[in-house]
Amino acid sequence: MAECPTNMEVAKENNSILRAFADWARKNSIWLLHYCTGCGAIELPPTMTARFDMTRYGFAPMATPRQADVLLITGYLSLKTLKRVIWSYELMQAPKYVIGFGSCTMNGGHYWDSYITINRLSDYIPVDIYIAGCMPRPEAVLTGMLEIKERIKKKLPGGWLDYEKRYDWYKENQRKILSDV
Amino acid sequence: MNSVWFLVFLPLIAFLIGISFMGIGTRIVARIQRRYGPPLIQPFIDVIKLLSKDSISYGWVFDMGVWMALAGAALVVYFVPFADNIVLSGKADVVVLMYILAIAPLGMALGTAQAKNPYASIGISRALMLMLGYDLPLVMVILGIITYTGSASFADILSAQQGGIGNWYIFRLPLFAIVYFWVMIAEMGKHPFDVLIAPSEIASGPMVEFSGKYLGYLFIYMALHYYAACALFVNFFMGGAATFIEFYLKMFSVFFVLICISAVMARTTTQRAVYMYWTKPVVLAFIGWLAYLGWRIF
Repeated sequence: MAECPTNMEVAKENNSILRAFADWARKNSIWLLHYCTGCGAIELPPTMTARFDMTRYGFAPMATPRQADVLLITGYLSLKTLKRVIWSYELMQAPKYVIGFGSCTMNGGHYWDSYITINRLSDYIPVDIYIAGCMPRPEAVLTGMLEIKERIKKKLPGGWLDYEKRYDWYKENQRKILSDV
Repeated sequence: MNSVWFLVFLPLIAFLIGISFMGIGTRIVARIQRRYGPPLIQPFIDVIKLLSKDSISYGWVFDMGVWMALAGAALVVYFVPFADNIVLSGKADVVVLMYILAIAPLGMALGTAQAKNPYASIGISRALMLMLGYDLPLVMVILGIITYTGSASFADILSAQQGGIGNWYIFRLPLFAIVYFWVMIAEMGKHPFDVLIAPSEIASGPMVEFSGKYLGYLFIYMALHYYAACALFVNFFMGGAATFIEFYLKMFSVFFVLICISAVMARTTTQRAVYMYWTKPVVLAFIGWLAYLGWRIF
Protein backbone atom coordinates (compact mmCIF):
# COMPACT_ATOMS: atom_id res chain seq x y z
CA MET A 1 0.00 0.00 0.00
CA ALA A 2 3.09 2.25 -0.15
CA GLU A 3 2.05 3.92 -3.38
CA CYS A 4 -1.34 5.09 -2.12
CA PRO A 5 -1.90 8.83 -1.81
CA THR A 6 -1.07 10.01 1.69
CA ASN A 7 -3.68 11.28 4.13
CA MET A 8 -2.73 14.89 3.52
CA GLU A 9 -3.16 14.59 -0.24
CA VAL A 10 -6.57 13.01 0.12
CA ALA A 11 -7.65 15.58 2.69
CA LYS A 12 -6.62 18.38 0.34
CA GLU A 13 -8.77 16.95 -2.46
CA ASN A 14 -11.80 16.51 -0.23
CA ASN A 15 -12.12 19.88 1.44
CA SER A 16 -15.33 21.18 -0.07
CA ILE A 17 -18.55 21.31 1.96
CA LEU A 18 -20.37 19.12 -0.55
CA ARG A 19 -17.66 16.50 -0.27
CA ALA A 20 -17.90 16.59 3.53
CA PHE A 21 -21.68 16.13 3.31
CA ALA A 22 -21.25 13.18 0.95
CA ASP A 23 -18.64 11.68 3.26
CA TRP A 24 -21.01 12.01 6.20
CA ALA A 25 -23.67 10.14 4.22
CA ARG A 26 -21.22 7.48 3.08
CA LYS A 27 -20.06 6.98 6.64
CA ASN A 28 -23.59 6.45 7.95
CA SER A 29 -24.99 4.29 5.19
CA ILE A 30 -22.91 1.25 4.32
CA TRP A 31 -24.46 -1.50 2.23
CA LEU A 32 -22.89 -4.91 2.39
CA LEU A 33 -22.66 -7.61 -0.22
CA HIS A 34 -22.11 -10.93 1.48
CA TYR A 35 -19.99 -13.33 -0.50
CA CYS A 36 -20.97 -16.37 1.53
CA THR A 37 -18.95 -19.30 0.25
CA GLY A 38 -16.95 -19.75 3.44
CA CYS A 39 -18.11 -20.91 6.85
CA GLY A 40 -18.00 -17.32 8.19
CA ALA A 41 -21.42 -16.65 6.74
CA ILE A 42 -22.93 -18.36 9.77
CA GLU A 43 -21.82 -15.43 11.97
CA LEU A 44 -23.71 -12.89 9.87
CA PRO A 45 -27.32 -13.74 10.83
CA PRO A 46 -26.63 -13.09 14.54
CA THR A 47 -24.91 -9.83 13.56
CA MET A 48 -28.01 -8.75 11.61
CA THR A 49 -30.79 -9.93 13.92
CA ALA A 50 -32.14 -8.84 17.28
CA ARG A 51 -29.13 -9.35 19.55
CA PHE A 52 -26.45 -7.33 17.74
CA ASP A 53 -28.56 -5.57 15.07
CA MET A 54 -26.06 -3.94 12.73
CA THR A 55 -28.78 -1.83 11.07
CA ARG A 56 -28.64 0.65 13.96
CA TYR A 57 -25.22 1.73 12.65
CA GLY A 58 -26.55 2.13 9.11
CA PHE A 59 -25.32 -1.19 7.75
CA ALA A 60 -27.72 -3.06 5.53
CA PRO A 61 -27.42 -6.22 3.45
CA MET A 62 -27.81 -5.75 -0.31
CA ALA A 63 -28.50 -8.22 -3.05
CA THR A 64 -26.22 -7.24 -5.92
CA PRO A 65 -22.67 -5.90 -6.41
CA ARG A 66 -24.00 -2.85 -8.26
CA GLN A 67 -25.77 -1.55 -5.16
CA ALA A 68 -23.21 -2.49 -2.53
CA ASP A 69 -20.40 -0.49 -0.93
CA VAL A 70 -18.61 -3.23 0.97
CA LEU A 71 -17.74 -6.70 -0.26
CA LEU A 72 -17.63 -9.17 2.61
CA ILE A 73 -15.51 -12.24 1.86
CA THR A 74 -16.57 -14.72 4.52
CA GLY A 75 -13.87 -17.34 4.70
CA TYR A 76 -11.74 -19.40 2.35
CA LEU A 77 -11.81 -18.91 -1.40
CA SER A 78 -11.19 -21.67 -3.89
CA LEU A 79 -9.73 -20.70 -7.25
CA LYS A 80 -13.11 -20.97 -8.94
CA THR A 81 -14.81 -18.71 -6.43
CA LEU A 82 -11.89 -16.25 -6.57
CA LYS A 83 -12.71 -15.68 -10.22
CA ARG A 84 -16.28 -14.76 -9.29
CA VAL A 85 -15.11 -12.55 -6.43
CA ILE A 86 -12.89 -10.55 -8.79
CA TRP A 87 -15.77 -10.26 -11.21
CA SER A 88 -18.15 -9.08 -8.47
CA TYR A 89 -15.56 -6.64 -7.14
CA GLU A 90 -15.12 -5.04 -10.53
CA LEU A 91 -18.91 -4.69 -10.91
CA MET A 92 -19.10 -2.55 -7.77
CA GLN A 93 -19.16 1.23 -8.05
CA ALA A 94 -16.39 3.47 -6.85
CA PRO A 95 -16.34 4.20 -3.15
CA LYS A 96 -16.02 0.47 -2.43
CA TYR A 97 -14.33 -1.52 0.29
CA VAL A 98 -13.45 -5.14 0.95
CA ILE A 99 -13.54 -6.90 4.31
CA GLY A 100 -11.60 -10.15 4.63
CA PHE A 101 -13.32 -12.32 7.17
CA GLY A 102 -11.58 -14.94 9.30
CA SER A 103 -8.04 -16.28 9.15
CA CYS A 104 -8.60 -18.12 5.86
CA THR A 105 -8.48 -14.84 3.92
CA MET A 106 -5.28 -13.75 5.70
CA ASN A 107 -2.94 -16.71 5.53
CA GLY A 108 -5.01 -19.69 4.44
CA GLY A 109 -6.07 -20.75 7.93
CA HIS A 110 -6.98 -24.42 8.06
CA TYR A 111 -6.49 -24.76 4.33
CA TRP A 112 -3.02 -23.22 4.06
CA ASP A 113 -1.57 -26.21 2.19
CA SER A 114 -4.57 -26.96 0.00
CA TYR A 115 -3.93 -27.18 -3.72
CA ILE A 116 -7.14 -25.36 -4.61
CA THR A 117 -7.58 -22.46 -2.15
CA ILE A 118 -5.74 -19.15 -2.05
CA ASN A 119 -3.74 -18.14 1.00
CA ARG A 120 -3.66 -14.35 0.92
CA LEU A 121 -6.64 -12.42 -0.43
CA SER A 122 -4.88 -9.05 -0.64
CA ASP A 123 -2.64 -10.37 -3.43
CA TYR A 124 -5.65 -10.46 -5.75
CA ILE A 125 -8.02 -7.70 -4.64
CA PRO A 126 -7.26 -4.79 -2.28
CA VAL A 127 -8.52 -5.59 1.22
CA ASP A 128 -9.32 -2.69 3.53
CA ILE A 129 -9.98 -4.54 6.77
CA TYR A 130 -9.19 -8.02 7.94
CA ILE A 131 -11.26 -9.46 10.78
CA ALA A 132 -9.18 -12.03 12.64
CA GLY A 133 -10.59 -15.20 14.14
CA CYS A 134 -11.79 -18.63 13.23
CA MET A 135 -14.63 -17.73 13.27
CA PRO A 136 -14.80 -14.11 14.41
CA ARG A 137 -17.65 -13.55 16.86
CA PRO A 138 -20.39 -11.04 15.96
CA GLU A 139 -18.70 -8.49 18.27
CA ALA A 140 -15.55 -8.77 16.18
CA VAL A 141 -17.54 -8.49 12.97
CA LEU A 142 -19.23 -5.31 14.21
CA THR A 143 -15.88 -3.88 15.31
CA GLY A 144 -14.45 -4.52 11.86
CA MET A 145 -17.41 -2.84 10.19
CA LEU A 146 -17.16 0.16 12.50
CA GLU A 147 -13.48 0.37 11.57
CA ILE A 148 -14.54 0.95 7.93
CA LYS A 149 -16.72 3.81 9.20
CA GLU A 150 -13.74 5.23 11.07
CA ARG A 151 -11.58 5.04 7.95
CA ILE A 152 -14.15 7.00 5.93
CA LYS A 153 -14.38 9.56 8.73
CA LYS A 154 -10.59 10.02 8.76
CA LYS A 155 -10.60 10.27 4.94
CA LEU A 156 -8.09 7.43 4.63
CA PRO A 157 -7.71 6.23 1.04
CA GLY A 158 -9.87 3.23 0.22
CA GLY A 159 -8.51 0.08 -1.36
CA TRP A 160 -10.14 0.81 -4.71
CA LEU A 161 -7.66 3.66 -5.28
CA ASP A 162 -4.85 1.17 -4.78
CA TYR A 163 -6.53 -1.19 -7.24
CA GLU A 164 -6.62 1.57 -9.86
CA LYS A 165 -3.01 2.51 -9.21
CA ARG A 166 -1.48 -0.97 -9.13
CA TYR A 167 -3.92 -2.56 -11.55
CA ASP A 168 -1.16 -4.34 -13.50
CA TRP A 169 0.31 -5.88 -10.37
CA TYR A 170 -3.06 -7.22 -9.22
CA LYS A 171 -3.91 -8.48 -12.71
CA GLU A 172 -0.58 -10.27 -12.98
CA ASN A 173 -1.16 -12.03 -9.64
CA GLN A 174 -4.66 -13.00 -10.71
CA ARG A 175 -3.43 -14.30 -14.07
CA LYS A 176 -0.65 -16.28 -12.43
CA ILE A 177 -2.99 -18.22 -10.15
CA LEU A 178 -6.04 -18.42 -12.40
CA SER A 179 -4.19 -19.45 -15.56
CA ASP A 180 -5.12 -23.12 -15.27
CA VAL A 181 -8.70 -22.80 -13.95
CA MET B 1 -50.65 28.61 0.08
CA ASN B 2 -51.75 27.99 -3.51
CA SER B 3 -48.92 29.97 -5.03
CA VAL B 4 -46.22 29.35 -7.60
CA TRP B 5 -43.71 28.42 -4.91
CA PHE B 6 -46.08 25.77 -3.62
CA LEU B 7 -46.28 24.30 -7.11
CA VAL B 8 -42.50 24.23 -7.40
CA PHE B 9 -41.91 22.67 -4.01
CA LEU B 10 -44.82 20.20 -3.99
CA PRO B 11 -42.74 17.22 -5.24
CA LEU B 12 -40.06 18.10 -2.68
CA ILE B 13 -42.63 18.16 0.14
CA ALA B 14 -44.05 14.87 -1.14
CA PHE B 15 -40.55 13.40 -1.22
CA LEU B 16 -39.89 14.47 2.38
CA ILE B 17 -43.20 12.97 3.54
CA GLY B 18 -42.52 9.74 1.66
CA ILE B 19 -38.98 9.42 2.97
CA SER B 20 -40.14 10.06 6.53
CA PHE B 21 -42.63 7.21 6.07
CA MET B 22 -39.85 4.96 4.82
CA GLY B 23 -37.72 5.78 7.88
CA ILE B 24 -40.54 5.29 10.37
CA GLY B 25 -41.63 2.12 8.53
CA THR B 26 -38.24 0.41 8.86
CA ARG B 27 -38.17 1.41 12.52
CA ILE B 28 -41.62 -0.09 13.16
CA VAL B 29 -40.63 -3.32 11.42
CA ALA B 30 -37.45 -3.43 13.51
CA ARG B 31 -39.42 -3.00 16.75
CA ILE B 32 -41.81 -5.77 15.72
CA GLN B 33 -38.76 -8.00 15.17
CA ARG B 34 -37.40 -6.90 18.60
CA ARG B 35 -34.51 -4.96 17.08
CA TYR B 36 -33.46 -1.38 17.76
CA GLY B 37 -33.63 -0.42 14.11
CA PRO B 38 -31.84 2.18 11.98
CA PRO B 39 -32.08 5.94 12.69
CA LEU B 40 -35.22 7.66 11.43
CA ILE B 41 -33.30 9.60 8.77
CA GLN B 42 -31.59 6.47 7.42
CA PRO B 43 -33.39 6.48 4.00
CA PHE B 44 -32.45 10.14 3.57
CA ILE B 45 -28.78 9.32 4.29
CA ASP B 46 -29.02 6.43 1.82
CA VAL B 47 -30.29 8.74 -0.92
CA ILE B 48 -27.49 11.28 -0.31
CA LYS B 49 -24.92 8.50 -0.36
CA LEU B 50 -26.30 6.96 -3.53
CA LEU B 51 -26.29 10.32 -5.30
CA SER B 52 -22.62 10.79 -4.34
CA LYS B 53 -21.50 7.42 -5.69
CA ASP B 54 -20.23 6.48 -9.12
CA SER B 55 -22.83 4.93 -11.39
CA ILE B 56 -22.94 3.00 -14.63
CA SER B 57 -25.45 3.28 -17.46
CA TYR B 58 -26.59 0.89 -20.17
CA GLY B 59 -27.39 3.49 -22.81
CA TRP B 60 -29.86 6.31 -23.19
CA VAL B 61 -33.00 4.18 -22.92
CA PHE B 62 -31.79 3.06 -19.49
CA ASP B 63 -31.39 6.73 -18.45
CA MET B 64 -34.75 7.63 -19.95
CA GLY B 65 -36.51 4.83 -18.07
CA VAL B 66 -35.30 6.21 -14.73
CA TRP B 67 -36.35 9.74 -15.64
CA MET B 68 -39.72 8.50 -16.88
CA ALA B 69 -40.33 6.73 -13.56
CA LEU B 70 -39.38 9.88 -11.64
CA ALA B 71 -41.43 12.21 -13.87
CA GLY B 72 -44.44 9.89 -13.77
CA ALA B 73 -44.35 9.82 -9.97
CA ALA B 74 -44.02 13.63 -9.81
CA LEU B 75 -46.97 14.02 -12.18
CA VAL B 76 -49.09 11.77 -9.96
CA VAL B 77 -48.15 14.00 -7.01
CA TYR B 78 -49.53 17.04 -8.85
CA PHE B 79 -52.87 15.32 -9.47
CA VAL B 80 -53.42 14.12 -5.89
CA PRO B 81 -55.02 16.76 -3.62
CA PHE B 82 -52.52 17.90 -0.97
CA ALA B 83 -54.44 18.83 2.21
CA ASP B 84 -56.92 21.48 0.95
CA ASN B 85 -54.99 22.25 -2.25
CA ILE B 86 -56.13 20.62 -5.47
CA VAL B 87 -53.35 21.62 -7.82
CA LEU B 88 -54.41 20.20 -11.19
CA SER B 89 -58.16 19.90 -11.03
CA GLY B 90 -60.66 19.22 -13.73
CA LYS B 91 -63.92 17.52 -14.48
CA ALA B 92 -62.40 14.04 -14.72
CA ASP B 93 -59.05 14.15 -12.92
CA VAL B 94 -59.61 10.75 -11.28
CA VAL B 95 -59.83 9.14 -14.73
CA VAL B 96 -56.68 10.95 -15.83
CA LEU B 97 -54.97 9.82 -12.64
CA MET B 98 -55.82 6.19 -13.39
CA TYR B 99 -53.90 6.51 -16.66
CA ILE B 100 -50.85 8.35 -15.34
CA LEU B 101 -50.49 5.94 -12.42
CA ALA B 102 -49.18 3.46 -15.02
CA ILE B 103 -46.45 5.77 -16.39
CA ALA B 104 -43.94 5.21 -13.61
CA PRO B 105 -43.96 1.38 -13.56
CA LEU B 106 -43.78 1.33 -17.36
CA GLY B 107 -40.81 3.72 -17.27
CA MET B 108 -39.06 1.43 -14.85
CA ALA B 109 -39.84 -1.55 -17.09
CA LEU B 110 -38.36 0.32 -20.05
CA GLY B 111 -35.14 1.11 -18.19
CA THR B 112 -34.59 -2.27 -16.63
CA ALA B 113 -35.26 -4.13 -19.86
CA GLN B 114 -32.11 -2.45 -21.22
CA ALA B 115 -29.96 -3.78 -18.39
CA LYS B 116 -29.34 -7.14 -20.08
CA ASN B 117 -29.67 -9.02 -16.83
CA PRO B 118 -32.04 -12.01 -16.59
CA TYR B 119 -33.01 -11.13 -13.01
CA ALA B 120 -34.17 -7.70 -14.17
CA SER B 121 -36.34 -9.28 -16.86
CA ILE B 122 -37.84 -11.74 -14.38
CA GLY B 123 -38.54 -8.89 -11.96
CA ILE B 124 -40.24 -6.80 -14.63
CA SER B 125 -42.35 -9.72 -15.82
CA ARG B 126 -43.42 -10.31 -12.22
CA ALA B 127 -44.21 -6.61 -11.74
CA LEU B 128 -46.37 -6.44 -14.86
CA MET B 129 -48.13 -9.68 -13.94
CA LEU B 130 -48.89 -8.33 -10.47
CA MET B 131 -50.18 -5.10 -12.06
CA LEU B 132 -52.47 -7.23 -14.22
CA GLY B 133 -53.72 -8.84 -11.02
CA TYR B 134 -54.49 -5.73 -8.98
CA ASP B 135 -55.66 -3.45 -11.78
CA LEU B 136 -59.04 -5.21 -12.10
CA PRO B 137 -60.14 -4.67 -8.47
CA LEU B 138 -58.59 -1.17 -8.51
CA VAL B 139 -60.60 -0.10 -11.55
CA MET B 140 -63.78 -1.62 -10.07
CA VAL B 141 -63.25 0.36 -6.86
CA ILE B 142 -62.47 3.68 -8.54
CA LEU B 143 -65.42 3.35 -10.93
CA GLY B 144 -67.56 2.53 -7.91
CA ILE B 145 -66.47 5.69 -6.14
CA ILE B 146 -67.07 7.76 -9.29
CA THR B 147 -70.56 6.29 -9.74
CA TYR B 148 -71.44 6.73 -6.07
CA THR B 149 -70.36 10.37 -6.09
CA GLY B 150 -71.77 11.06 -9.54
CA SER B 151 -68.61 12.85 -10.54
CA ALA B 152 -65.02 11.99 -11.55
CA SER B 153 -63.52 15.09 -9.97
CA PHE B 154 -61.55 15.12 -6.72
CA ALA B 155 -63.24 18.35 -5.66
CA ASP B 156 -66.66 16.65 -5.76
CA ILE B 157 -65.42 13.45 -4.10
CA LEU B 158 -63.93 15.50 -1.26
CA SER B 159 -66.95 17.76 -0.83
CA ALA B 160 -69.27 14.72 -0.73
CA GLN B 161 -67.35 13.49 2.34
CA GLN B 162 -67.54 16.74 4.32
CA GLY B 163 -69.58 17.18 7.48
CA GLY B 164 -68.58 14.59 10.02
CA ILE B 165 -66.77 11.28 10.16
CA GLY B 166 -69.99 9.44 9.22
CA ASN B 167 -69.74 10.84 5.71
CA TRP B 168 -66.30 9.37 5.05
CA TYR B 169 -66.35 6.79 2.30
CA ILE B 170 -64.46 4.36 4.53
CA PHE B 171 -67.76 4.03 6.48
CA ARG B 172 -70.17 4.58 3.62
CA LEU B 173 -68.34 2.26 1.18
CA PRO B 174 -66.43 -0.08 3.54
CA LEU B 175 -66.02 -2.93 1.04
CA PHE B 176 -64.42 -0.61 -1.51
CA ALA B 177 -62.07 0.71 1.20
CA ILE B 178 -60.97 -2.82 2.11
CA VAL B 179 -60.35 -3.70 -1.54
CA TYR B 180 -58.43 -0.48 -2.17
CA PHE B 181 -56.27 -1.10 0.90
CA TRP B 182 -55.61 -4.64 -0.33
CA VAL B 183 -54.51 -3.27 -3.71
CA MET B 184 -52.34 -0.65 -2.00
CA ILE B 185 -50.12 -3.31 -0.42
CA ALA B 186 -49.19 -4.67 -3.84
CA GLU B 187 -48.93 -1.19 -5.34
CA MET B 188 -46.36 -0.19 -2.72
CA GLY B 189 -44.47 -3.48 -3.07
CA LYS B 190 -44.86 -4.53 0.55
CA HIS B 191 -45.05 -8.01 2.03
CA PRO B 192 -46.73 -10.35 1.16
CA PHE B 193 -46.86 -9.00 -2.41
CA ASP B 194 -43.23 -7.92 -2.81
CA VAL B 195 -42.71 -10.58 -5.47
CA LEU B 196 -41.06 -8.14 -7.83
CA ILE B 197 -38.28 -7.03 -5.46
CA ALA B 198 -37.62 -10.35 -3.65
CA PRO B 199 -33.91 -9.81 -2.75
CA SER B 200 -33.28 -13.41 -1.74
CA GLU B 201 -34.80 -14.98 -4.86
CA ILE B 202 -34.12 -12.75 -7.84
CA ALA B 203 -31.55 -10.31 -6.37
CA SER B 204 -33.90 -7.30 -5.99
CA GLY B 205 -35.44 -7.88 -9.43
CA PRO B 206 -35.79 -4.71 -11.50
CA MET B 207 -33.18 -2.88 -9.42
CA VAL B 208 -30.47 -5.49 -10.00
CA GLU B 209 -28.34 -3.39 -12.37
CA PHE B 210 -29.06 0.03 -10.86
CA SER B 211 -26.06 1.57 -9.20
CA GLY B 212 -25.24 4.88 -7.53
CA LYS B 213 -27.26 7.80 -8.85
CA TYR B 214 -29.76 5.63 -10.72
CA LEU B 215 -30.63 3.76 -7.55
CA GLY B 216 -30.84 7.10 -5.75
CA TYR B 217 -33.39 8.34 -8.29
CA LEU B 218 -35.35 5.13 -7.83
CA PHE B 219 -35.34 5.75 -4.06
CA ILE B 220 -36.79 9.22 -4.69
CA TYR B 221 -39.38 7.66 -7.01
CA MET B 222 -40.25 5.15 -4.30
CA ALA B 223 -40.72 7.92 -1.72
CA LEU B 224 -43.05 9.82 -4.09
CA HIS B 225 -44.91 6.59 -4.72
CA TYR B 226 -45.43 5.96 -0.99
CA TYR B 227 -46.75 9.50 -0.60
CA ALA B 228 -49.13 9.15 -3.58
CA ALA B 229 -50.54 5.81 -2.45
CA CYS B 230 -51.24 6.98 1.12
CA ALA B 231 -52.57 10.38 -0.03
CA LEU B 232 -54.96 8.72 -2.48
CA PHE B 233 -56.41 6.54 0.27
CA VAL B 234 -56.90 9.60 2.49
CA ASN B 235 -58.59 11.54 -0.31
CA PHE B 236 -60.79 8.71 -1.51
CA PHE B 237 -61.94 7.27 1.80
CA MET B 238 -61.01 9.52 4.73
CA GLY B 239 -62.45 12.80 3.55
CA GLY B 240 -59.21 14.55 2.67
CA ALA B 241 -57.84 17.02 5.17
CA ALA B 242 -58.12 20.70 5.97
CA THR B 243 -54.62 21.29 7.31
CA PHE B 244 -51.20 19.83 6.67
CA ILE B 245 -50.94 18.26 10.14
CA GLU B 246 -54.28 16.50 9.76
CA PHE B 247 -53.27 15.31 6.30
CA TYR B 248 -49.96 13.92 7.55
CA LEU B 249 -51.54 12.17 10.54
CA LYS B 250 -54.27 10.60 8.42
CA MET B 251 -51.72 9.38 5.85
CA PHE B 252 -49.51 8.05 8.61
CA SER B 253 -52.37 6.12 10.22
CA VAL B 254 -53.02 4.38 6.89
CA PHE B 255 -49.31 3.64 6.47
CA PHE B 256 -49.02 2.40 10.06
CA VAL B 257 -51.79 -0.18 9.62
CA LEU B 258 -50.28 -1.27 6.30
CA ILE B 259 -46.76 -1.69 7.69
CA CYS B 260 -48.03 -3.62 10.73
CA ILE B 261 -49.85 -6.05 8.43
CA SER B 262 -46.93 -6.44 6.04
CA ALA B 263 -44.35 -6.92 8.82
CA VAL B 264 -45.87 -10.22 9.93
CA MET B 265 -46.52 -11.70 6.49
CA ALA B 266 -44.30 -13.88 4.31
CA ARG B 267 -43.86 -13.44 0.58
CA THR B 268 -46.32 -15.26 -1.70
CA THR B 269 -45.65 -16.43 -5.22
CA THR B 270 -46.66 -14.33 -8.22
CA GLN B 271 -49.22 -16.81 -9.49
CA ARG B 272 -50.86 -17.09 -6.12
CA ALA B 273 -50.95 -13.30 -5.74
CA VAL B 274 -52.62 -12.81 -9.13
CA TYR B 275 -55.06 -15.65 -8.46
CA MET B 276 -55.91 -14.13 -5.08
CA TYR B 277 -56.46 -10.66 -6.56
CA TRP B 278 -58.73 -12.03 -9.26
CA THR B 279 -60.87 -13.92 -6.76
CA LYS B 280 -61.20 -12.36 -3.30
CA PRO B 281 -60.91 -8.55 -3.86
CA VAL B 282 -62.86 -8.76 -7.11
CA VAL B 283 -65.68 -10.64 -5.37
CA LEU B 284 -65.64 -8.11 -2.51
CA ALA B 285 -65.77 -5.20 -4.96
CA PHE B 286 -68.60 -6.93 -6.82
CA ILE B 287 -70.58 -7.33 -3.57
CA GLY B 288 -69.93 -3.65 -2.93
CA TRP B 289 -71.37 -2.83 -6.36
CA LEU B 290 -74.42 -5.01 -5.70
CA ALA B 291 -74.99 -3.30 -2.35
CA TYR B 292 -74.74 0.10 -4.02
CA LEU B 293 -77.17 -0.88 -6.79
CA GLY B 294 -79.58 -2.34 -4.23
CA TRP B 295 -79.40 0.92 -2.26
CA ARG B 296 -80.12 2.88 -5.43
CA ILE B 297 -83.07 0.75 -6.55
CA PHE B 298 -84.88 0.21 -3.25
